[in-house]
Parts: sequence; structure tokens; C-alpha cells
Amino acid sequence: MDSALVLIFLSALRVSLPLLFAATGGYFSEKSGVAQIALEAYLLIGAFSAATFTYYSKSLLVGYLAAAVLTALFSQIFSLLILKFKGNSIVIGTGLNLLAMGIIPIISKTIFNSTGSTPSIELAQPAPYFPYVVLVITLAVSYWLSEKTIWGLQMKFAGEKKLALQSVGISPAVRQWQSLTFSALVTGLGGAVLSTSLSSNYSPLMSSGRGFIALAALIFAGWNLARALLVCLFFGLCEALQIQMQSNEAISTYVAAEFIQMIPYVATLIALLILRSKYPPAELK
Amino acid sequence: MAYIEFRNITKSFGDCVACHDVSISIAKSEIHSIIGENGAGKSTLMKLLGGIDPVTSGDLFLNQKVYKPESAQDAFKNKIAFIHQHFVLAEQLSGLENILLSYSSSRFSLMTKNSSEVLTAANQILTRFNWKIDLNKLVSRLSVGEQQRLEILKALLQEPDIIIFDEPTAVLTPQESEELMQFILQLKKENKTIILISHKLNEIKSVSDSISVLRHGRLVQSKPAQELSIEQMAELMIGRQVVKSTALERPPQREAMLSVPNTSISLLKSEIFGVAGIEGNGQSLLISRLLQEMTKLNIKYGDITEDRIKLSVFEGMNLWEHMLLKHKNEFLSKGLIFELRLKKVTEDLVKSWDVRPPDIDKPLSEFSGGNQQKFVVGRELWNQPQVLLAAHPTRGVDLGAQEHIHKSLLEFSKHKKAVVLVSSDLNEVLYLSDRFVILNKNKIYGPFNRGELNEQQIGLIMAADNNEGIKLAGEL
Repeated sequence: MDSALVLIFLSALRVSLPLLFAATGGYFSEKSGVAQIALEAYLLIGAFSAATFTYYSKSLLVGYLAAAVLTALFSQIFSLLILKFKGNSIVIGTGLNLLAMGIIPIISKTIFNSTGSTPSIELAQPAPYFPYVVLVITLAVSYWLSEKTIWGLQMKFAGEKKLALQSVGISPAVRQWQSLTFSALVTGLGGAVLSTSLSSNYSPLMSSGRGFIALAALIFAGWNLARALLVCLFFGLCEALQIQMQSNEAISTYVAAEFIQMIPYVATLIALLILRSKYPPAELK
Repeated sequence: MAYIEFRNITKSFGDCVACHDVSISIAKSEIHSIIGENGAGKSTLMKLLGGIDPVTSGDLFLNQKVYKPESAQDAFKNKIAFIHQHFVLAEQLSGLENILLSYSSSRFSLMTKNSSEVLTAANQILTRFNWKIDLNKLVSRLSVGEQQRLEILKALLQEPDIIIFDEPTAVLTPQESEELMQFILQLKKENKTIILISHKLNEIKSVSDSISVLRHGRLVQSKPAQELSIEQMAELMIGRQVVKSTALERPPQREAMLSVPNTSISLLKSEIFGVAGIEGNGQSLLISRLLQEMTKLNIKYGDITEDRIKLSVFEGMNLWEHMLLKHKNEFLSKGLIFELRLKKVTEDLVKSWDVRPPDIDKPLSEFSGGNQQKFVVGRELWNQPQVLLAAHPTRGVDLGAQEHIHKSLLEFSKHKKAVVLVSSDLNEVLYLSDRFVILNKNKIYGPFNRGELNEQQIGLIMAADNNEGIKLAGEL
């Protein structure tokens, strides 16, 4: 195979990494019956936590762990408002997205005396394969949780038929809370990839809509995780092509960069239109 | 001695008192039936026992002890199984997964599913009752009868002592209902206490040990079954005698109103034209042919749709909005709604059809099935159409409403109007129709005149693989 093609595929996989995490996170939330539009916030929190902790510890592992734990903690606001106080998940999700955008500069100002980007990370040892290892582990654990365990079954019942779950003595809210927390944890890892592997620091709003793309992929894939991941990979491929095209002088002289940057979004939109959405979890709201 | 006791139970939802001072006692291992019209408070009462709703005042006793369930979980722990009228199954999951859920506990556990053990246990029960369900299929792919068996199977695997059946036969075919009743008797032999809610008096009479009758939220009678006749039960339920309307004398010569293309069927003025057959044998096709023809000829028609929930009752819309939906030309002018007139007309309709509660601002979906149907029938007849398509007009409807609907169909057909009555209830077709056809695998047999065939003969034509020699009116 042409080495240029191989390069494009490798970079496609690389840029779709955060999406794959976010889609997996979104899956656990939506399947348990809670509409999840706060993925964007989780990516940002994850990205910022990972950048900060990696900067100080010089260890990717510490950065990823911090991203997972802090995002999961952050998501407790979401769970509390929705499960305990019965808020509307769309409204609260939007609120959380805004909160993440606001709270990160405040913390950043305290730590780095800057509301913009965090300082560049220097690793003790470069570890280019680390995010892939984390991805494989995450996907394996997610598959096992959702398809093999009793917990996974109960989680799906919270999304499909609450009454059935209640009538065997299980509180749907508890399963939803657990699932929402796991959802945030996984999405936080996606954020970590964003700031520590795809770039070398946190910069404001660096998630640039990836949370929403992952959610759209999930919805249009009919809440089927494998299909959603494929859509995410497709988006990654378009993104990689787009980067290639921008660096190609023959094209970039004639086509404005903004148009080239549109390609992945337009292509994903078309792909999503072809996939028809069906069978949402019955209790999803 | 009472095993389950309701003592002075009152349950109200806001201002609406659903159950008023009800006291019932139920002995161990008996089949106790609770009958009453839709909205009489039967289901409400059972939901109290099942822990789904809390009691407003009064006490429940279980085995002489005060029983105060706070949730469905409490009922579950007390070995009470509730088989709901609307199945509590996750449609996008498989039958096996739905069963597996009952085996799990509320403790957080990452144990993998014990699918094979549960499958064995489930199959044991299935073979014991000679049932066949593919447990690996998604629930949405199972037939209604199969879904109900799955629901029962789920309950039985937990070895409950008390089983509540809420209108279990509402959606079943006559054969399936018969099988279910046999099954309930079998459960009784295994020492289970069974509470059966229904308004099908024949089946109640045949299996029950004792019967409680509710009317408008009050207990009117609680007696051993042998002391009550079916007529008495009906009378207690609706509070007056049931008058069966008799078929009408028809003029000998009647004009044809329209004919169905490619068949020899024509619809006459002043008649009820019955369509018998097991569901799914071409009923929908026949109805759509008729609709096409009527639209072409510009005949005004009313349409009582076959699936009330899907096609006639829309979530979140109240009565007058439903009225507007059907008769929009009557109440709209230049894009504005004549709201006062619309509400007035709806109120009159609700009054004359005795829809309860008479609240035209309440969403139609929150009414009981019988009241929904009364409203729908009333609405379809409101602007005096020439033809009424009535598909399963009395399905899921109680006796009083059934009587009312039957009477109005007969009344309607008097005045040079035609009714097409599609029903899977053979008695209904035989009792109301002047002429009828039988559908079997999209073939139309007939038409037959009233009294030409008896029930057995019709049943044979409905179910046979091959109906050679029987007059054929066409194929759909």
C-alpha cells in the first residue's frame, strides 16, 4: 500500500480517538435512559485535568487517571440534579457545558496564572501507544459491562422499562447514577487523549464539538455502540483527509481553508442522514 | 380465615376518589375475581396491593399481619406477583434477558449473567405447561399471547404465593383465553392464591371461587361465585339491567351504496355488514379498499380504527382537540378555531355518551379504554356520516359501554346508513350483522345472510387451510 494512504489511516485513527471514548461514554448514559449532551463538558474537564496533572507529574498514567477521576466527580453535579432533583437532562446538560467552559479558566488562572492554554507538557518518556492501550482496555471493559454482566442488563432496563426494574426491587436511579458516572469517566479519558496525545497542552474549547459529534453518531447508529464507533472512525478519516488537503499546496491555493475544514462535518452529516435512527431506549428522556 | 384483607380502603388521586371504603377478604389458595366496569377502581385497588400506589386511608393485611408496601419491591418481597394488563417487558431486549432480570438483586454486582441456568429453569416451566416461546427473540418480535406467557413465566420463576392478573384476556384470542383459564385453575391446584381482574363474565364465572363487584369505586357485593349468576353480576356491575338490543327488521329491498372493486361485495343502505375472521387475514386491506372507494365516490364516512391506541388516541391531546382533529372543517374558519362552539359540542358529546369523567380538558389517553372508545365512536358518528367503518368497536371495552356502542350501531344503521363491522369476536358479528363475510388468508368468503351459518361452521371457514366449495366473493 501507498505509504501516504497508510499515514492517512493512522492519523484517522489518531484523531478519532477522543470521539471513540466520548461515544462509549455517551452509550452508557443514553442506554440507561438519560439523554447526555454534557459529553462536551466531560471532554473539556478531562482534557484540562490530564494536561495539568501530566504537566506536574510528567507521567501520562497520572494524567489519565486524574482525567477519569475528576470528570467522574464533576459528573456528580449532573447526576444529582437529574436523578435526585428530577431536572431536565437537556437543560442541565447545557448548563454543565457552560459551567465547564467557565470553571476551567478560573482554575487555570489560580494554578498557571493564565486563563488561556496550559503550559506544554514534557514527558519523562514519550509513550505514543499509550492512548491505544487505554482505548482497547476501555472498549473491552465496556463490552463486558454492557453485554455480559447483570449490572449491564439492569442498566439497560433502567433505559427500557423502569417499572420492570422496580418490580424486582432495584432502584433505576441507582443504576442510572452508576452508569452516568462510568459514562463521565470514559469520556474524561477521551479528554485526556485530546490534551496529552493529540496536542501537548490544554487550550480553551479544544473539544470543538466532538462531544456532540459522538452523541450524534450514537443516536444515528440506533444506540448501537459498534455502529457508533464506526461513524466516529469515519469522521476521523475525513478529518485526516482534511488535514492532508490543507497541507497540500495545489489545493490550498485555490480552496479557502475554512471550506476544507468543513469537510469532516459535512461528510459526517451526510453519513448520519443515510443511517436511519431507530429504537431509542424507551425511557430515554 | 382471610389471607389477604382490604380493610376500609380509600384511595384518591387529588379530588378524584378512585376507591371508596372498600373492604374485601380473600382466602388462601382461592381464585378471587374482582369485576367492575372500566374506571370502577379494580386496577387501582390492585395497584395498592402491588405496592405501586400508596393507600390514602384504610389498612391492608397479609396473613393477619399489617402490610404496608411502599414500593413494588415490597410486594415482590412478600411474594406477590403482579401481571399487568400492559406488559412490563423491555421490548428491545430478548425474552431471556427479561427473565434474567428477575434473578438479579439490588446489590451492586459485576457477576456475569447466569443465562444457561435460567434458561433451563424457564424451559422446565415452558414444557410443564406445554408452551412454546423462543426466548432468544426480542420481545417486540413476539406475539401478544407470547408476551403474556413470558410475563407469566417471569412471575412463576420467582415462585410467588399470590398472583394478580389484571385483565389478562383483554388482548388474547378466545382460544388463548381458554388456555389461560385452564392454566389459572392449574395454579390454584398448586396452592397459589389468585386475584383475577376482568370484565369478561363468562370466564370469571367458570373459574372463580369468589367474586367481588365494584361500581364507581365502591364495593357493591362480595360473594362465593356459585351464588351469583352471570346476569346478576352484570346487573351489579352497571347498576341496572342489561338490555340486549334485538336485531332490526329490515326493508326487503335495499339499494346498494357502493361496491368493493374486484369483489362481488356491495354495501347496502340500512344494514350492518359483518366481517368475521381471525385478525391479520386481510381485515386491514379490506378496510383500506373501502376507504379508497369511499374517498373516490365522495361518501362521508366515520372510521372507528382497529388500533385505538395507535390511530385514534393521541398522547397529550385532550377531548376537544381530538374532536377538532376529526371535524376540523366544522370548527375552523380562516385558520381560527371556534373554540366555544367546539367545547360546547364536545361537552354535549361527552354527556350523551356518558364518558367518564366528563372533563373535556383531560387528555384522552388518560381515560380508561371503555371511555376512550365511547368518545371515539361518538365523535365518528357526530356529523352523521353515511357509512361507519367499525373495526373491533368493543375491544377492551366494558359491558355497559359495549351495550351502548352496539345500540348506537343498530340505531345508526336504521336510517339508510351502512355499518361495516370488522370484529374478531364471532358473537358480536353474528349478533349484529344483517349479512357477513368471512376472511381467511386474504380471501373473502360469502356474503352470508343472518342465520345462514352457525358459529361452528363459521369457525371452520375462519381457520381452514382450504375452503373449496364455499362461495368466494373475491380476493384481496
